[in-house]
Amino acid sequence: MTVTMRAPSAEAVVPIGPFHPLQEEPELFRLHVDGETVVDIEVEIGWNHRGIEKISEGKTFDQVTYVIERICGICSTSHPIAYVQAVEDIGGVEVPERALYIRSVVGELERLHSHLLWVGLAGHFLGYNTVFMWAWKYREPLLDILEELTGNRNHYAMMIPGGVRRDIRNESIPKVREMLDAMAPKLEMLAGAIIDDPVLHARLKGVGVLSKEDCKAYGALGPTSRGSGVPGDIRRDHPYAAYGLVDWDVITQESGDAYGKGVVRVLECFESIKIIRGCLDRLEQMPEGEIDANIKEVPPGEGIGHHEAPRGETFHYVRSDGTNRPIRHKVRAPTFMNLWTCKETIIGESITDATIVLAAIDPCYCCTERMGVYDADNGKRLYDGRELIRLSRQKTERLRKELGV
Amino acid sequence: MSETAVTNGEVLRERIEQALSAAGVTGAFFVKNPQRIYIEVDPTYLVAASRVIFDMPGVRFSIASGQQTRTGFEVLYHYGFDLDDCVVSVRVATTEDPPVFDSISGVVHCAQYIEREMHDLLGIAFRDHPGLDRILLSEDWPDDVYPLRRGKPWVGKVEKRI
Repeated sequence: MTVTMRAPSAEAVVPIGPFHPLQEEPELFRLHVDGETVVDIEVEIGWNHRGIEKISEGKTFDQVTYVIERICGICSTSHPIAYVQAVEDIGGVEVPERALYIRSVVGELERLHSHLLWVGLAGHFLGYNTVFMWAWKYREPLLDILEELTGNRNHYAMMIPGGVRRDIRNESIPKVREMLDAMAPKLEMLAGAIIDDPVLHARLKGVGVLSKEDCKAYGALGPTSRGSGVPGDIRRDHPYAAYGLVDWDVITQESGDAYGKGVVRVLECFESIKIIRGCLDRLEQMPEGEIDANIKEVPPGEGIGHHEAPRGETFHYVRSDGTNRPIRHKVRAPTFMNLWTCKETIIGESITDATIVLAAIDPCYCCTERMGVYDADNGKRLYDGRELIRLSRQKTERLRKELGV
Repeated sequence: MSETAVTNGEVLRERIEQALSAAGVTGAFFVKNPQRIYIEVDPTYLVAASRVIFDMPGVRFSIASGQQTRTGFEVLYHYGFDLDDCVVSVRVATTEDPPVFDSISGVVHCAQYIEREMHDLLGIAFRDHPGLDRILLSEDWPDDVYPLRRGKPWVGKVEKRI
């Protein structure tokens, strides 16, 4: 099929976003393209600002946990973990050991399902629908286990200031182990298929490179910075929950490109499994039941809590005046920092790589389905989201033929 | 809390204090615990203090949080000291209305975005900011209405942006 190209001199604007029912963070990217090359990018956020910080000021400390759980449907336990730690930091509350292990188990199960979601969608954009199907298929047993442990596939409502709301019964632990044992070899197969694929190497290596210096300047977090060789991970650098009590490694890649970020996410899944297994070992040796420090009141003061969410550090600042409500609650999600790195990564890249470069920071891919390319002069639509995904897949297919695989 | 942990907090505090005083900056330190240090500086020292702290090894700008207090406005700039397991927060306060601070975006590039957010939600202005445009609120949101300020809630209608 023939693709109509713009004349190199005529700069067009490609709006990506802003709305899609599945997005947790709607955003609008305006790509200025010259022919097929991106020459500039404007980022606009705030399309679905829900005023959660303000709502939080009107809720009690316990209620806030459930409000902020609704910030994001994918990392729905990350915000509560950071928030409850901030509240505990105000009064210096000591959380029972069993609750710390349970926090890590839920946090890592969530990381696993979030990374698998990303792998699936990245595969979809690149024309690897088998990867998409596999990744999402293997994600299902995880969500079932989360439902078994917490009562829900997402929005687990497990955290409360001072501990966790539900115990993980020791009788449930073998089921979790069984699921992890079944998942590990499949993940290995998936990782092998992704990491060794020559077409993916040709497609992703050297695309959307973020340097270490830019990581510092933009405050990049999580897999976005670890993919650039910056070994920052809140779980290791600021140990909390049970992350300092079990054995695991921080995964980094030096390349800084879309491939490096993807590899970090895939390999991190194995570390998550290691953490969960370590926590389950300890949970089995502990008596059930002691999971809550029973906080009666929050003294006046301020507290900070942070958690390594699947996309990077989630940061919460809470201030109390001694009543039962926070007087200020600042929430910073990792995408607020990672988003702006696209100013460095996307300029100079081809429009066919735009989907994967923007997806590499794991913002919300759903918005890319809403892409459209418009002529800046007459407002006429040139490409839509499907067309851009099709172009992206076409490039993969072309590389596949050239490489003879 | 172990004795070693407390010592670590004090050691870091001394290191920061020395670095700041070498740049002619003084501040009031509060070591809440080994993982949390708060430093209150005069707004005139804000950019200098930010430069010193951001240049220290293993330091990452986490975010800033603005708030309205009983006497005025304050902003906390949070830095992750990843090599020292500590979050260091630099506090500046003002009783001026409208509140204005120096922008630290010349030193900490990514701070420009959260400064735009604080300008949107609290009406805090930042001198020498590269472009204090709206970031969260709609372009046609009224100029003198700030959602996170205290007081009587604003009642009105914002036209839908097309």
